[in-house]
Amino acid sequence: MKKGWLLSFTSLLLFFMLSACGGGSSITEESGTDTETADGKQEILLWHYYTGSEEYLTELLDKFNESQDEVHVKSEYVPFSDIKKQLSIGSAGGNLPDIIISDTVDNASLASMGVLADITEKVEDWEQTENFLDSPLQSTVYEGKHYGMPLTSNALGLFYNKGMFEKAGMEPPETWEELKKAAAELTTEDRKGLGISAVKSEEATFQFYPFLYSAGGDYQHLESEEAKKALSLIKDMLDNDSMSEDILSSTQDDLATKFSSEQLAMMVNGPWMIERLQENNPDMDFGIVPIPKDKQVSSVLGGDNIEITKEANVDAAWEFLTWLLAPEQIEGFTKNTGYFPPRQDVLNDSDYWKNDDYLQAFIPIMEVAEARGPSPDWPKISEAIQIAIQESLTDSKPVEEALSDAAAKVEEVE
Amino acid sequence: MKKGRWGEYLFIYPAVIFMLLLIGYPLIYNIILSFQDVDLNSLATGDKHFVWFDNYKALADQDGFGISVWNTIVYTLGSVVFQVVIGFLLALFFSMKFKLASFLRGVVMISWLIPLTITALLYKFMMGSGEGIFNQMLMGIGFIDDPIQWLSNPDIALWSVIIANIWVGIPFNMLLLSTGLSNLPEDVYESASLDGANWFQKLFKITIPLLRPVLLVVLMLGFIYTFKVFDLVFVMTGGGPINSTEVLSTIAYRLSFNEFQFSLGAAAANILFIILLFVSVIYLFMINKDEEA
Repeated sequence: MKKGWLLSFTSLLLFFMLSACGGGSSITEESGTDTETADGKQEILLWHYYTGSEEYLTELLDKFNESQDEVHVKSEYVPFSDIKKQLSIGSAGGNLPDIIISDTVDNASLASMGVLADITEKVEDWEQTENFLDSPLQSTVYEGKHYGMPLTSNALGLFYNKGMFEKAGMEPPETWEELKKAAAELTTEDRKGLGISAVKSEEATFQFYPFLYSAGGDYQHLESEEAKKALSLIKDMLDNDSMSEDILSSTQDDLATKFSSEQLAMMVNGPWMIERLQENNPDMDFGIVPIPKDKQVSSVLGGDNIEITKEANVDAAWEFLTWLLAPEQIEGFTKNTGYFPPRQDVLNDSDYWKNDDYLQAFIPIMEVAEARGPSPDWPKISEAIQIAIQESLTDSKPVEEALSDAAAKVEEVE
Repeated sequence: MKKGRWGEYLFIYPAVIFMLLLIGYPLIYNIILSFQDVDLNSLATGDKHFVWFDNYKALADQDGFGISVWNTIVYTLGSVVFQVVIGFLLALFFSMKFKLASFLRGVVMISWLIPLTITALLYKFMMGSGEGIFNQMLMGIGFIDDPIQWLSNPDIALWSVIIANIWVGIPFNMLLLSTGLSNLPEDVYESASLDGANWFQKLFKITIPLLRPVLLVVLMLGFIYTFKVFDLVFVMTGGGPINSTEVLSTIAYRLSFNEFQFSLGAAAANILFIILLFVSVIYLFMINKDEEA
């Protein structure tokens, strides 16, 4: 009975194949929105990926829920790496949460997916919008419309080892020329003057951005003289040995490790490393200044945006957003997450950032930080930039050629 | 089995269903996915139409795809050859029943026990151009004058990852080959000694031919383990510099989880799968031939 075996086996196989095919088409009609709680409140579901500050978030939500009797917000944790996928699946099934939190660079691609609500009018009408920093606010824009609000921000600065600078009788650099000079002079047998991350990942793009924008370049014109100048600066410092070849495989974490073991006199890094540096090497005295400039002081913006989905009750969600983004709440929340508030007024008025030796250095930096993109195809643009950086730093291509190749790739996706 | 007793097949169904669910379903799903046009947008609209081989064509045009196939092959062959040769030599060494042999054999296993991510970080640290111990040692003994850019030179980076992987794979090869060696019949060696065979003759005329089935298994498993490398490359270089250490699995990961082009990612994963399937079939064929002979 070989046939019987074969028949039943193939039928099983077929069954699985068919069910695999049909998997995507079974759209459920159930909608996660417009639900009401027992006490007649409008229910709003928030997706977030905060692990360390989850408790604080819950506290905040409780506070909001008690403060009024129209909206009830509850939260759900979705891992960062899953959020895009979960959203697209949720969108197909009509099961979207009402509010989501995403990385700033993902805001545009989420908007391009058609998942988010256009809240341009509300953003423009809100009297507090003007207090937000410009770049974080711009990071919510896709095709001229606002699809979210900035929630938390961070940026890159130049960390320097105070002891080494004092010994050499130098001041922290402010211009590219000074940076080159300081990096070269502070380089010795067992340490390098400067560390930046040029590993093949988003981190390389992130770290290159301040230099690109300081020269007056941008990602849409990578073939420009300005972009060439920025990449040449990095290449020069590598060629004259002020930086180690290891930057091509160094992540920002690696930089922090080397900086705290005093193998680097300076590094480009973000405020989230401060605590780590203090823990790793409590005896080390370090300072933070803006990344040295060419034409203008610049930095790169990181952090999160908060967005309302297209099927949500936008009014109710917006009510919560304006409450959360108000100075009293946003100050506590950003403090707790270790980020910076995206609001100029909070940065200026709150004592928390102003009075901290390290954090205060980031206040002027936050004001000039540029958002990456925004573009729905950011990962591809970023990869083109990463490749250009690595091609020129490894002498595989001259700076000019590497950048014009990258510019061609960017043009293709834009 | 005898004819007319197909009810007996019922007993294998639990296992078959289990395999189909856990292995068959994802495989088939992945194959179907690679023939459809699925990215974030189409997931959102639910429109997954079939484009058949368009994904594979698009993949071939992807920046770095060709080199990633080549890298995967170089990485696999380079790793497996050295792992097996060194593993075999170590197995021979430890089969010379000296004191501490089994203890030392256990110590060698350590590199197999360390999580790959940790190994990757360790090697990244040791291969640092300035302070890394590799360069320090090589320069200390005067073997090189200038530090080697282990992970920063596109011509060397792949081999640096291979070195790390060889270190990881040696104990596994050694253990399997040791077991194989201890199962070889003693009498063959005795009569060979009587006939005046020297050590090399015994090695090439007796040990290796008798060890053939074990060697085949070791080569096969080594190939499969190595071919789907991910952690080592991802942590040590991230696929860089440029595309010099990009392999099929990192390309598939990048496409699926960075760019969310799920279909392209599935296509890349399927190419990996097809090559492995091909190698497995060759292996089964060789095993069958062995048994028939």
